[in-house]
Amino acid sequence: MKKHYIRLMLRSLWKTRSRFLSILTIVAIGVGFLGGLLATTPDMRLSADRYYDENNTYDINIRAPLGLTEEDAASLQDISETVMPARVLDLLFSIPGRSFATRVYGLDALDREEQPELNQFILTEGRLPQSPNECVAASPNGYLPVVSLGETVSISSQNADYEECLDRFKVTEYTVVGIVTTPLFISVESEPCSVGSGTIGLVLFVPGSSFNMDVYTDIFLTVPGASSLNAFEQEYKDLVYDFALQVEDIGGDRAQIRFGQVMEDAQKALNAKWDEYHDAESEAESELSEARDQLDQAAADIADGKQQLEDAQQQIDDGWAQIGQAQQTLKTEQEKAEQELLENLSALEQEQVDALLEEIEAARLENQTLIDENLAAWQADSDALEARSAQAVATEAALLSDRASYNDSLAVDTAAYGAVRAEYALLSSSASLLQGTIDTLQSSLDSDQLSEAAKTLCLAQMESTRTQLEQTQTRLQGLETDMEKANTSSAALDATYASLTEKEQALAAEWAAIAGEKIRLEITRVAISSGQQQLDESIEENKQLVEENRPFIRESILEAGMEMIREGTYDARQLINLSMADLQAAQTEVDENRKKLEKAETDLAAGEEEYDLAKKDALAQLRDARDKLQEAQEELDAMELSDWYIFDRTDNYGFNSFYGNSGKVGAIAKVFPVFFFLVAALVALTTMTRLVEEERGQMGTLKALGFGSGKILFYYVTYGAAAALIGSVAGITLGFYTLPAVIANAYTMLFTVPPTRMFFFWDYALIIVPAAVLCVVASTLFACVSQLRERPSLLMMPKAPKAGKRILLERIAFIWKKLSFTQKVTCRNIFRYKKRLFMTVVGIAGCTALLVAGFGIRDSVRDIVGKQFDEISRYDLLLVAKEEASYYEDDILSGMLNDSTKVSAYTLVHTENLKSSTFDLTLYVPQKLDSFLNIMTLRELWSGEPVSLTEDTAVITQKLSENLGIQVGDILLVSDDEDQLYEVLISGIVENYIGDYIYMGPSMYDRIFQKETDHRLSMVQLSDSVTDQTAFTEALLQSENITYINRAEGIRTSFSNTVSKIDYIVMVLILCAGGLAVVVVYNLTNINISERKKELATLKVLGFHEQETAMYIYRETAALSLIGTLAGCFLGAALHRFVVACAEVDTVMFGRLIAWPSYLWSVLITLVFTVLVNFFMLPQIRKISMVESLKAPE
Amino acid sequence: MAYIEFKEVCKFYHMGDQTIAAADHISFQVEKGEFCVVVGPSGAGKTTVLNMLGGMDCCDEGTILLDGSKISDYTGRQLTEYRRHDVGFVFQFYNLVQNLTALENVELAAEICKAPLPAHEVLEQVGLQDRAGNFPAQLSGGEQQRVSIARAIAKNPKILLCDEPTGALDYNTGKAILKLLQDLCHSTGKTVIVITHNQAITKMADRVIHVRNGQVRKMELNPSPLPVSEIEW
Repeated sequence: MKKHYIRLMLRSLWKTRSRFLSILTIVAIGVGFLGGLLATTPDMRLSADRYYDENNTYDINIRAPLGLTEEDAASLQDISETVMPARVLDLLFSIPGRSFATRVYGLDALDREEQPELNQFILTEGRLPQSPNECVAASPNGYLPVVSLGETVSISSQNADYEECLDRFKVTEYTVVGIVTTPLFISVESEPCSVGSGTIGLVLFVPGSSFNMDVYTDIFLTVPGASSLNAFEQEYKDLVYDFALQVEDIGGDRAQIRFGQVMEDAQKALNAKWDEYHDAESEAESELSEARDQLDQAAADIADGKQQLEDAQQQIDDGWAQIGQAQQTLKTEQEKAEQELLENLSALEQEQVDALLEEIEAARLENQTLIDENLAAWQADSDALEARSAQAVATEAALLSDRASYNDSLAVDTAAYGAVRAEYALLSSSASLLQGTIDTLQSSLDSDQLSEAAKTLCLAQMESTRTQLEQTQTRLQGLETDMEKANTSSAALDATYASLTEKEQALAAEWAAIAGEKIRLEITRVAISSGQQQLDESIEENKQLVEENRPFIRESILEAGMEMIREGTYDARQLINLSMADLQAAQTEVDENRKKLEKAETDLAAGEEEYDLAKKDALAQLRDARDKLQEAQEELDAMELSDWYIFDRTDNYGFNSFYGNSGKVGAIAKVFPVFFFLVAALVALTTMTRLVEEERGQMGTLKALGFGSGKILFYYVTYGAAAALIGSVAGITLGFYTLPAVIANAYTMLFTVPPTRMFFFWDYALIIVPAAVLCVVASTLFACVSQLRERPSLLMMPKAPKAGKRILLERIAFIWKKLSFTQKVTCRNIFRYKKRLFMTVVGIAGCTALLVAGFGIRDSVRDIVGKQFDEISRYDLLLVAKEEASYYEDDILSGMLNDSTKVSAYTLVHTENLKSSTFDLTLYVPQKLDSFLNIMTLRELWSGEPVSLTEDTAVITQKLSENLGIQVGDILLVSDDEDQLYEVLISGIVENYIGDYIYMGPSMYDRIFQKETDHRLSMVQLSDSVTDQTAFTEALLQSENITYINRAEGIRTSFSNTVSKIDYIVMVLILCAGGLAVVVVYNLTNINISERKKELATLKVLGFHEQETAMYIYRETAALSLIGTLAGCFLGAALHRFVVACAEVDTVMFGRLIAWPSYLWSVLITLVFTVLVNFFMLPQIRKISMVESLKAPE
Repeated sequence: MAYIEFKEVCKFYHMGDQTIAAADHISFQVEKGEFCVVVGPSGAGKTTVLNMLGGMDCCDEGTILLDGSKISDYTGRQLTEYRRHDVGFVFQFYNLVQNLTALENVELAAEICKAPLPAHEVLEQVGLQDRAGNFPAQLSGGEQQRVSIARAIAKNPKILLCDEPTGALDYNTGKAILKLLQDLCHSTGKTVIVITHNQAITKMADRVIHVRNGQVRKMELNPSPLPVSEIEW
């Protein structure tokens, strides 16, 4: 019996397996989601805590401004587990080309090549340092390694106090030999620091011996029993807090001791400095007096020189006077001589003339003698010539007779010679004729042509001729002899002739010579007479000339006299000129010396001035030094005992950030259970209702057979409970082991911690699983009870179909009439089954809501930075100077800020930290309202309307107003750090995402606070031309007057990481939402199809097309889905608000608005899921056989 | 050629290894405007005939012709069209859409075909003009069947197929329905095919087709069908 019952149940289960799965799935999704969300926070924290414990992370960190000693460490040894002193400094380190704000840990353990006792790091690459110039490096934002193995890092010369930095280290250059991750820096968001870009960019661990410091800066220690506790839980915090109190007690004493030591040392150092000062003072004094002496000596020298110069001048002047005198004397003498000359001039003249005349007379006498001599010679010559001429005439007459006899002999001779010659010439020619005739006869004989007769004749003739010829020739020879005789007589004649001629010629020459002599004598006679005449004339002439030249003579005498006088004075004058040249040279020298002296005087004056300045300077320096020393002394005297600063892990940036981030997940988990349980209950309810209805007949039969209600009920309860149990166990297991990984790893990408380990939380499981089962069982009971109340007989009857009902919509005729038939049916059907309507609408709404919330959270987180830095506070840099004056006095700062090519705007703000009840807030009092409002946009959150800030108003930020419940017009009570209370009337609430602020007009601040303002903070907006903000920041940090600097860019980057992690969570939400939509839509469709099988079959028979039939069902699903999504948008907005409220930390406001694309996507994704499910359900509709329509109703 | 013609139509069902011939070479003809009754005991193959004729099922062998169209060759889609326009179906259990009023149920069918008759008129024709606004649950069985008939004829089909139209009704109501069908047949000239196990009904038919064991045993023409009022069972 029982066996059969169970078999029946199992069969029923198999038949309705899809429904069973629906319940199972929805429960699994809900429970899994809930479990996963709940487990995420503890998983993250447990994992992180283990990570901390495994690396012996400190519980308490002591820092002391005066340093910590070995004794300090030893004093803690008794109460603590492990104590590790260390030297920790923040300064700039650089690798070539870059520099980083670096935190350097000097660890003694590294000297021994060991891991430190506390805060052990995990070596991911390389090895531990083996020598003092080696280090291991960690980059705080782990996935961006800053340095790599083998690189050398060195203390950057950009450090503001570079010298001091170098003093603190023995080794200033380190080779990176290992890359580590350290539990001290787990957050990707860098820890703020006061050097460089304002956040730690590099962490180095170096051997302690690399430091040159005799004291430690930090002591790390662990608290006994703390490692077994979860550091994120209160228990741990309490333990550490109590322990910290003990440490504080010890610290009080130790600090006192240390203070004494430091004071002593400082006093010693100061005294040494005083000595130094005194030395410097006396040295300065001696130097000054020496300089004085030198100056005086120089002055004396100059006076001396002046005297000498004067003397020299005097000498020169004397010289000039003497020369003048000499010149005068010379002149007088000359004049005297001239006078004398003029007086003697006439006498001299006469003397001269007489001399000249005497000379002339002498000359005349001499010449007259000469002429007389010449005349006598001439007379002799003339007589000789007379004799010669007579001789010549006699010679001539002899000659003439010789000549006549010669001429006669010559004529006879010539005639005889002529006749002989003529006869010879005639005989010569007749001889040659006879010869010719002979030759002709001979040739005729020789030719043989002549007859003998002829020949004889010829011979005869020839003989005759030859005889003739011989006669001729004899005559000729006689002739020739005649001729020879003639010739000899001729030659005698010729000789006679020649001698004759010679005699004639000689006579002619004699005559010529006589003539010549005659002429010469005549000439001589003329010359003598003219000489006489000339002489006479010239004497006369000369005498006259002398007379005529008398004035010239006089003048020449004068000139000569004068010349003589001049020559007489020349030497004296020459002497005078030489003296003058000497004097001029002496003058030049004197002038030069005077110039030199003048220059020396100028130099002396300059020296004097210099001396005065130097003296003043030296005195000022000394005074400064003395003031400083006095100040230092005063400071030292005023130095107060400074206690230890005690930090615990919550002061660690990474720990804190991790704590906050991990907590947010837990907050979100609170909202989902309600929702998923509601949907699970609704799914269970509708499914079970349908199940019970389907098995109504069976139920009746069983009942009629005598099964008790309980037993029947048991089946359904078991059915539901089994589905819920399997679903929730599967779900929670899946949830515990998958979801935390997704969510936590999304979050832990912001942290360098090991992957989150997932744990099974029995406590959660033991609450969630029963709750889920109970929820389903309750729904099941609710569905069954009404059926079981009916009598078996009625149960066995087919249940009267649920009557059609007119719905409200039909009353609104104008809509109803417009609907098509199928639409009307859909409307009626929708309202026929209210549970299903609920289930579907809630389910789909839930799906959309999850998506809206998910996308919304993404929007919100993005808005934090996007809106904060793009729309609200539009500055790029926030910097704090030492004091307001730095902005005007510091050249770097004022130069860079006022460079309009780089800085487009900046505003100075007075800032103060205030408290209102438990909330910390920051007060901003702008120096100038307009420049402040230029950078800050003050607007209302929801409406975006601008909020005005005037000289005498104050506004607060949105989040603050929410936390404090302050409305516009309320009075805000704030207290400053001296606990002075102030009342501030709030005139506006402005949108702001990061930080809690109160912005106050300057006059209001004056009026209410009545304190001095110090506008140390400035908001700087860089111009677009600044492409490298890091470089700009680093340049700014060259100024020593900047104490803090923060870049909007940095915050932006770290937040964009967060946003990308949120995407993972959105993915999870999409999956869960999808599961929800699928289950709900599937369930609805499944129930609708199975319930309306017959209707569908009938429609098919009536000739409805497949899609028409499907739409008969789907139209309903679609309508419900649309309603659901619409509702989901609203629900999502609410859910989003809730999640945001949970996830928000105090000082950060998430964006409150969901962007419309998020809604759009949510609706789209929901509808896609719905459509997909319906698509997969199509075969089920197609499968319905038309034959069903012929069957009897169940 | 006859209006409706079954030629050697076979339909087999496979139950595991066994093959059962639900229709075993069935052949018959029905003329246009005839009131035809297909009669036989349970399991004789009436429903198979009905299914095949109504386009809900197709035959494995043979030919089915209606008004010259070869139904047996129709594809699924054509069969849907055929059901939509050519066949009016009256179910044993009325198969009204519970969520629609009487009038709406008629309109539902009328909505999907080419030349529907005005729903009101049709309802009037079946005598339900007063109950037009009522939901099926508010109507008696007979009334529901009338709505069912109205729904069938509103489509203005070529044939009216009725599956045990009186099966779920009491005697008088059943008679009334039958009368309605006969009147409709005669007044509108529609071919009406009634499938029943009730031999008594055969007397009112123009043509009676006896089916047994998947075969047509006998087809007889009734020269003088009786009015319904004269039939008793």
